[in-house]
Amino acid sequence: MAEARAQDAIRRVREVDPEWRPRPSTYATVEGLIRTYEAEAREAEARVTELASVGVGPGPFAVEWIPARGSSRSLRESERAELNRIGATFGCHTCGALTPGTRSGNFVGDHQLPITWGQPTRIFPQCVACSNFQGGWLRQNKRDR
Amino acid sequence: MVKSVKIAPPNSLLFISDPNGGEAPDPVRGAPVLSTPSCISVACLMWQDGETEVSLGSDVKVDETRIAAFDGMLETPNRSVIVSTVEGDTVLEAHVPRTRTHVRVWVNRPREPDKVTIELQ
Repeated sequence: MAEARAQDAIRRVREVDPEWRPRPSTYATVEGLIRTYEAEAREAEARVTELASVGVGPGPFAVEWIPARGSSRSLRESERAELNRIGATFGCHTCGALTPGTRSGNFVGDHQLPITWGQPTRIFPQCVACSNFQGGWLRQNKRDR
Repeated sequence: MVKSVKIAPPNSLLFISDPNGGEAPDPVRGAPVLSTPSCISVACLMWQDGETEVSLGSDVKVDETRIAAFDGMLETPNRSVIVSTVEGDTVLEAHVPRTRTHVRVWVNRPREPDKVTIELQ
């Protein structure tokens, strides 16, 4: 049970952060092994929550998305319209804002995973404040491409 | 000399620093300009809405409609200033004479500027 919870939590982290590893630990008894699994599950769940709060991985308000066309950054008009519809209905996937905060009134199309972290498969609507915040966080946590 | 480029940077963010990248500022929601002693971040036009014209140099011409977004000193230990993206791609570079450089950033509007001028003194 504890092992399954830990493995599930670790799998969810690695969907957005493939390089993530739980802190190493040692144990000598079965009870110690169970506590290790429980600690790993808590650590992985905390990491998923942390990443979602900075815009890495689908955020707490993510409901619908559009498929990403590989690593292409540009949006077609139809894709932009669909992202604006999703954003106006469900809000920014990171903070839930129902307005994008952009001059144009368009939501930002947020690729997940971020292009610098891996191959994006989905695009979610995001407000400009969360997009800028995510950019600042990604810069501080830059990865080699 | 002034160098210019038109770009649509990811996350609508530009970073001004020494080529070593400096220490990027902690992100703050809704703050268009942030800085540390070694790095300045500037938010620009939402990147999927169009390009931002970025100029860098010591002889920039700034008309009276421009707004001062930043005025301060930047650590430049390699005697150079770069403008780069979230991903670390350099889009502009200029050499400077000192290891600390007075930087002014001018924008054409307070929110999502599409003209950003970086004056080096």
